[in-house]
Amino acid sequence: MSTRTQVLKKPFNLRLDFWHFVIIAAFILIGFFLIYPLFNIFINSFWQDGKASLENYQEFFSRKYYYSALINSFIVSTSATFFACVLGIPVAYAMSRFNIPFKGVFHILIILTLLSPPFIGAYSWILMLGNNGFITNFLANIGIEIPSIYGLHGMIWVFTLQFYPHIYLYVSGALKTIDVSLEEASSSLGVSGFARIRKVTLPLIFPTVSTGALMVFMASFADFGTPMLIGQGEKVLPILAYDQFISEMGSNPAMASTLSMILLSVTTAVLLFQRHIMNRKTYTMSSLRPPKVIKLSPVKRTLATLMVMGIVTLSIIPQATVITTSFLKTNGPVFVGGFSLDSYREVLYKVPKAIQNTFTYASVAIVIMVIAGLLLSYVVVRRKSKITSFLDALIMIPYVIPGTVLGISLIIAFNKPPIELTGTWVILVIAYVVRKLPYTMRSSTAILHQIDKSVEEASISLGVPPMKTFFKTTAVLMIPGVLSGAILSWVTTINELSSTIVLYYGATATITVSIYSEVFTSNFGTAAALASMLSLATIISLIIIMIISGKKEISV
Amino acid sequence: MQDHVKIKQICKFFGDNKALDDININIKKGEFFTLLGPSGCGKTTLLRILAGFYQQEEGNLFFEDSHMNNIPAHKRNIGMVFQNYAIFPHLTVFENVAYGLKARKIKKDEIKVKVTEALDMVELSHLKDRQPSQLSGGQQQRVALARAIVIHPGLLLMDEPLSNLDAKLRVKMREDIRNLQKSLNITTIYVTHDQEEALAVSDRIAVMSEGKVQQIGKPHEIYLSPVNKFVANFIGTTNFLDAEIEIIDSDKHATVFVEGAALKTKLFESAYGKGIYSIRPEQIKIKETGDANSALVEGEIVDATFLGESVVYKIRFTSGTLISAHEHSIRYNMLRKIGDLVKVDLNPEEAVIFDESGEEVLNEHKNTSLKETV
Ligand SMILES: Nc1ncnc2c1ncn2[C@@H]1O[C@H](COP(=O)(O)OP(=O)(O)OP(=O)(O)O)[C@@H](O)[C@H]1O
Ligand SMILES: [Mg+2]
Repeated sequence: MSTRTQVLKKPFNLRLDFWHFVIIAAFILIGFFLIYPLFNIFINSFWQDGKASLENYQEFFSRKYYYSALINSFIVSTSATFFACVLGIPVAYAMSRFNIPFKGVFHILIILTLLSPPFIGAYSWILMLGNNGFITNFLANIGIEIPSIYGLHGMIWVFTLQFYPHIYLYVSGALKTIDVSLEEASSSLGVSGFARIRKVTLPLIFPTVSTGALMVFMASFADFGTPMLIGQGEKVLPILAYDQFISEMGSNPAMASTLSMILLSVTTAVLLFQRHIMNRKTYTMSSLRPPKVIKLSPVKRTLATLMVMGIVTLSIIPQATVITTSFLKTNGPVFVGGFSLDSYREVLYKVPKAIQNTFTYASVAIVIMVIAGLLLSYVVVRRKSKITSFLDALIMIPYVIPGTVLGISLIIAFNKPPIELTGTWVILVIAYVVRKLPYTMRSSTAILHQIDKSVEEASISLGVPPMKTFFKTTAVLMIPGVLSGAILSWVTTINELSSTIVLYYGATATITVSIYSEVFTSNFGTAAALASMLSLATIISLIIIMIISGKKEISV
Repeated sequence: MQDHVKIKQICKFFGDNKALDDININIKKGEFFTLLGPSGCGKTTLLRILAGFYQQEEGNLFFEDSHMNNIPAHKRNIGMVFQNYAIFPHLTVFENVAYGLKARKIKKDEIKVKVTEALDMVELSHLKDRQPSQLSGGQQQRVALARAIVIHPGLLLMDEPLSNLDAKLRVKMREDIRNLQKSLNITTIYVTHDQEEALAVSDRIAVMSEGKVQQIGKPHEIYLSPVNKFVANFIGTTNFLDAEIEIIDSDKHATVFVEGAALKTKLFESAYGKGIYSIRPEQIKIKETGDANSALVEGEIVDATFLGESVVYKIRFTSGTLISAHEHSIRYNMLRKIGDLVKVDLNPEEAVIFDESGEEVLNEHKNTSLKETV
């Protein structure tokens, strides 16, 4: 029976298929547009007057001008993170556990807050509370002096109101998966009310809160627009890096590289720290009985609603202010009373190119991201191996790269022959794709996990070759997930400032850059008109995502 | 008849785990062949090698005379029915069934004719415009079947196609599948871990365990003439009793002592010492206490389960050993009661005696001759 007559020892030849090429191409592109630039600034930061040295780092830590920016960044980001938790956790708790009216509306408004460009918040708080802000003026008229919005506390205020939705979204998700019997058990042990929330619920959602907090910290730490507008004398790291870079252009950009490295080290360290706590404190909960919504007494219900409404309103005020302002009659920085469409007319006349640029670049980027998201998530999920896991890790690196740093690193890498991309629109699109691809990847892999593998095998056994099978089955089924991720990436791309400001070049200016320069030249009307256009585009995109994914929830 | 599928010395490893160990099977044209075995024994792995989704590390695969090792899955002309159906969720019933025909570049009107015909066969024509999400499990299964047969595959592979259906539907579907297979005369390889299903539909069965084929045979062969303890135990139910073998003559006639009774049998080769005596419940005959035959064992009825056409009795021997025995329930006054004392005929003519390890059959029994027909 077992006379091994014709056993082929190596019966098969290793054939390269399409997916191998995808993997190879991905490594080449990531190496070229991400690793090489980062490596470049790493080397640059140790390079002074043609030789390797630690001089730049020594200078950073010995001069107050430099290290105080680091301290400022820390103060602002940690405070904003703390206050975002203070706002986000109660709102999430109330929204998911109590019978609050208009939940859907609140939810949308909170997401809208998160997705609007950060500096629009800063800008409209200036319109309200700035030196010439209408609330400031109003209060001054009735004899009340309020402290200026400018400075670190202004940044903390803006970041808190802008980024608490991160906490809200993560915590709401976690609260839905807590098995209600855990909380009931603690009640029956005599722990109830606030004590129960503190002793049982909070520890259970702690890992999720920490993930949300990480997002808030990263966003505040890396933000460029808000500190630029509202910081005035107080500098934070991204501003400092930008300043150094702009003033050093043409010479040796060593200090900008050093600052970038420090920014990167901090974000990476914070990420690793958060992962570390997560690993120790993760409880996996399979929600056997998800908690019910509690019907509050009318008084309590009103109080809870007022709390949620207050916070949501406060955070959406900037949007409302900007949109209102865009319809006011202005003459330069002066509002002359009455409504008009003048600001829009002026914008269309003054910066039509910027509007066109924003939507063109973002659209080119979204096409690339859809294709890349489709193919890369497939190799990462369905061709799981050490190599593809490594690829997955590389793709996620941009999570920790502040936009300013990416911008600086791309310029340094590609500002000289043989590859000169500085000043072209290509470099902007590259920056957008690198920065936002992780978001598309996340939603693409999520949907891929839900698609049955054997659907492809069924197609193959029916005679359709593997490649064609992918496009006829899995790809079609993935489209909703990929698209909703890509549209989200698109929204954050049109609102992007921190890398654009480093990379743009006259003719490639975008809406955000124009808003920024209009605000700086005090043309508040036109700035508001441009910002309103972005808000409108953002709202439309969100509606499209909801239609595509067929649900009310958006995971940002 | 001509061999359609030839599986020769196939081995498959997952890391260090040998999922398939030297598999040799020849399957005839038009045959309904079943791979049967407990979970994890390698059935799916073997099926996927046939389909071309896995590549074996060793061994060769032939369809008729063509060597298949290097033929990719989409060129093997195989119809496959998956356990979870794997219906294309974005296509209607009609489009699902038409999928393989379109890939073969068949003309539109011809596709229509063939799809309608296939849907008729599985009694689904009235649902052809439905979305898969609007179908019940059984209907999805029929779509999967229609989709697989409409391309006139050389080989039909089914991996536990009925395991997600309820018991009633399972019986109806398996009959439908069997009839369809017969009328189309498609060589079919069917995977299941349900032995009753396997016995009911198969022309032949390969019983597998731990990556090895234990026995290949017609349903009644593997049931009545198992080649080892594993097969005897896995197919149907049986009683295993300790046996002590003593040779009595040069002609290999032996006396086997089981539960104190001296039973006569004929061995293939001379052997003595310990063995395992396997006898199925329905092969046991229950006698009255008055019977003086010395080959009978005394026992007491300790449990009775009435199943309609038969009764299952649990009988305890004086040694404490429990066995189960079936008896037809013909008349009301013939039913036995718990506590009744009986004598049991262990029926050595039909019993199978294994060596101590359970690997080999030692005796000739009534159904031994079956083996030569394989
Ligand atoms: N992709 C894989 N990677 C690693 N091991 C595998 C893989 N597929 C199967 N195995 C292992 O190979 C062995 C045989 O698995 P197989 O799926 O063929 O069993 P099966 O007989 O189909 O079982 P079941 O009745 O549960 O479907 C098992 O031990 C299983 O763990
Ligand atoms: Mg299986």
